[in-house]
Amino acid sequence: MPDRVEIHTRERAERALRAGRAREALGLYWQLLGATQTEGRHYDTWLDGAAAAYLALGRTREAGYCLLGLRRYAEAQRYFPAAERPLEWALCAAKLGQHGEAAQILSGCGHPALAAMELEAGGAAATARIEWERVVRDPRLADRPYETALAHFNLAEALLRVDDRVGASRAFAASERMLEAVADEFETRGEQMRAFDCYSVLLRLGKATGVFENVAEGYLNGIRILAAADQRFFVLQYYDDFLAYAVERAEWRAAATIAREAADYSLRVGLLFDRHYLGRAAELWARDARENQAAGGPLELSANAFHAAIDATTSLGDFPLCGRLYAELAELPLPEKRRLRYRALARRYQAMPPEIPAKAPKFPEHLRSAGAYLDVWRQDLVEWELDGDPTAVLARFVVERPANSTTRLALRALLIASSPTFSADSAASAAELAVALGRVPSYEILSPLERLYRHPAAEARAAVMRGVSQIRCQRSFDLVRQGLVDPAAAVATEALRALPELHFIDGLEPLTRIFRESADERVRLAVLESIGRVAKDGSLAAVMVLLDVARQEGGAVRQIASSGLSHLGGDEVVGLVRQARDAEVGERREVLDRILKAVDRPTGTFF
Amino acid sequence: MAGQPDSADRADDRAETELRRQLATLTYSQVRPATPADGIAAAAWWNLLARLGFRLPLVVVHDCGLLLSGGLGAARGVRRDGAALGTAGAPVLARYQALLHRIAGAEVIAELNASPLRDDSLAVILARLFGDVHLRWASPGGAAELPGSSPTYELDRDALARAHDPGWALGFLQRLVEHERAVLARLDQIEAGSLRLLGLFSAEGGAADLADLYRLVGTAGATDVVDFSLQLLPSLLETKRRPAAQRFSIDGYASVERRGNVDALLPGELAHDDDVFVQKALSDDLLYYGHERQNEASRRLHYLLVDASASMRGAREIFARGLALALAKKLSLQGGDVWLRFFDSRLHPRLDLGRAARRDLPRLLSFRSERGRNYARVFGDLAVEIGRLVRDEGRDVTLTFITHGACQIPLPTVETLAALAQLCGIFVLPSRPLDLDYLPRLHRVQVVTASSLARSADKRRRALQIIDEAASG
Repeated sequence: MPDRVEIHTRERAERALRAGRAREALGLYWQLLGATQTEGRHYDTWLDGAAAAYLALGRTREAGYCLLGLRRYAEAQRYFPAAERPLEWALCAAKLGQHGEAAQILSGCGHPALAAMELEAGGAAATARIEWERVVRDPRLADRPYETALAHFNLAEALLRVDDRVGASRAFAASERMLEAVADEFETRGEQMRAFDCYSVLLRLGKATGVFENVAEGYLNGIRILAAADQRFFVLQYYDDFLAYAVERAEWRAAATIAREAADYSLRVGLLFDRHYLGRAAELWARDARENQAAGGPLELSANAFHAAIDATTSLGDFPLCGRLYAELAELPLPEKRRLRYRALARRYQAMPPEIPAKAPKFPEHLRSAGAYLDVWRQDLVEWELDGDPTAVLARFVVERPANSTTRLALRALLIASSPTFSADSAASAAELAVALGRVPSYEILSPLERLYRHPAAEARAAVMRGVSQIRCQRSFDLVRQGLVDPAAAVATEALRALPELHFIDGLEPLTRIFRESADERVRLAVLESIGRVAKDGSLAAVMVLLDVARQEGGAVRQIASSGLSHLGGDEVVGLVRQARDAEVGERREVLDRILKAVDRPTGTFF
Repeated sequence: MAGQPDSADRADDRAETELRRQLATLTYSQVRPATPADGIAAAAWWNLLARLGFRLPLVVVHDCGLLLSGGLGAARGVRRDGAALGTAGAPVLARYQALLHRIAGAEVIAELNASPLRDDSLAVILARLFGDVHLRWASPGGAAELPGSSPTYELDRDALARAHDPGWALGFLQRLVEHERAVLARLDQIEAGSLRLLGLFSAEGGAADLADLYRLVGTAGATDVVDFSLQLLPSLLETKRRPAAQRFSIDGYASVERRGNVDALLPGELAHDDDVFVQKALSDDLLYYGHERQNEASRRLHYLLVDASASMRGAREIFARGLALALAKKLSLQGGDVWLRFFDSRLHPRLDLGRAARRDLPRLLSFRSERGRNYARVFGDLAVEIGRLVRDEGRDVTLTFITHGACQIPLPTVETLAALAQLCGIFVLPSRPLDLDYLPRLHRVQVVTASSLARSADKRRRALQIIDEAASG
């Protein structure tokens, strides 16, 4: 609900507007629009007033943006002439269901990928295919291997839709070759999450073509990267989904090994799902054995599969099931000596009283994330096409996202960028926009920030550092890294200030890399401050990093790592610190002893 | 800074401290009587286990190691006074004692004690037995390796226990006895097959990597690969083994070697049982008469590539590696060098299954890729290497790559390779019909399906045919 000041401000704004003082009204509405958390109906009223003020001032473009924010697309479209503001016009047309028209305008203004997507949304598969072919031939893709791979992938899907299987196969093959090479390159450069995006596309490619090998490649490498980033729930969601897919495709052996890996992972990271996956592994190994037998496959493979099932069952503690599996093993046409042994073991284990089974919860639905599978083959291509143009990115953001505080912040940034006083060449304008962009906590905002960083004025680049410090994505560190070595001291200073702000679990790996690569003590201290915050948020991996630093380093660097550790607590942290302490002698042991005393303090009792 | 211990001294201090801490736990040992030599042996096993990531209390390594290795002898045994134990932790120790008796009475102990068990094999078996329990125990251990010799081994155990409270080990013993059935079940699972594998690779001078050995025994796939290739090997070798068909003469033979043509096998090798003969063939233990190598044989190079990427996960991996192993042996018998390498996004180091089978076979069986795939780069690098081998060394190269049905190699690269070498592709269990634009450029293509690998005699002939054709390139 608006407070009394806001109500009063709105009244003043309306009076000013009625009295023909549009500039004054706009200033008052601008103040109101800063309260982006306000409940929708009231905010919309202010936005509507701002639109009216803009119109009264003849600033039709900004009025159009306000109407976009209000979802009044037909009205908004009137203020975006197709020849002058083609993207905005097309966005409105798309929302009005005019996909063909939107596509035509987008195609004509150098956005063939967006045009293709509009055509697909309108069901025009054949025409969409033509647009995708234009994308593939676009000269802007030169030296952009990742985007080129995405373009081929989208073309391949388009060709499948029009039943051109030969063409689709060629395009998928081209995409596959490029994706593998690009993923490898990203991993070599340490850009793990970009490699992950490649594997996501490969996964989708595999499913689209029914090629299990590519699905396996996509899932297993994706899991590897997520596990290294300590993204436990994403890892398990991927394991779970890959397991289901392998079963669906009757890849029993692969499914069994995946289940076993999921169990081992779950146990290793302290989650509760190991027993569930052990049970699945046992079932699937047994299934593999039976299917192999039924298909007349090599006998020893069946026997070994039963052994693997028994192994999983032993870890589970289900000995009667062990016995039943030994009994099946004994039925195989193996040498008599082995069969006798297995029969004896079957009798012994089947006679064991069942243990009270511990609960074996499976990975629950509420831990699944809808964001686990992003359509990066679309999103990243759109990013390439928009090339970091702030108004284009922001306009699309406002239209495509649900109305909430984030889109309102994006709209404010958009209005700043489209003000008649805004000039991309002006350092002050660029700086104001950078700060406004930084208030939009979203991955898509990084590309306009990266473009603004190319500004010749240090003031603008410094503001980019302030902006990016609010966007918690791994990619934000790419910009910060550039800022740290910027020739302008003011920019480097802001980059340094940005580091402690970027504290989130995904950020641990890039933070650790910056720490290891930098010889500048100020940078290292700033990084440790950030890692300390990540540790405080519950990341044991961050605790390990701090421990390592406390053991190996000296001086102020050790001091800040120790201080970060001393503010933590909990049994796991205490255990880790004690283990590290026990392994040391001399001065290092004393340092860790002091830390241990600090973390192993009694907390206030609740009961 | 002067006066500060250097890192070597610190390491020594840590090692001694850890040794005392661990030896103190031997007050809980249930093996009587105890000797310092047992402590030294147990420390060696402990170090091997620590390399595998398992830091168990030394008392468990000591007692179980002695049981498994047959080191107790007739004069010693596990105590039988469980109820009379008067020490701290007596209930746990009584159950621990009972568990040791059950271990001692297990069927597999007799098999293990029948022939000397090397330390690395013992460590691997202990790791398999206690791995589950270790995972569920918060190990308070340090990072030091125990010294192999130290006056500490001679110290009185009780005195050590008074100086270094061994109570921490009771936590593990508690877990151990709680999971007794699982431990005994693991013991029951130790099969002749696993022992056979360990025996193949844990020989004098074998130098197999410990972690590879552990993975070998722990992963279902490793045994499958050996079993699958052993299924094929007898047929590869048996037609050459009929003694009546062979005539040997010392004249013309200059030496006795470990590699050679089957026609040059020493007569004594033919006397072995089939099982032993095949195992010796697999680990390159057969002896051959050697003679002057022909120029053709020395120029010949069989280059085998095995796809190790995640795409091979499942049955594909087993069949690919089993075929590779069998093919490598077959090609070795034909003469010429055989190089085998895994590939994913890179070409991995060569495995020499000819000259260093014991060292490299575990790697073949348990190798796991840690990267994605990049076939353009791999085969591009290969083209450069093979070009050099052909041009500069005059080698006559046959390249066989074993992979899956979605292996996309750029066509120009395949054309370059095909101009340099005989090129054979073996595609294992493709999930869809092969649709690769470079297939016509290969000199030979084999598609391995599940039915071609089935166990009936006529189906096995198909697998052998694949190998024969690949080897005849």
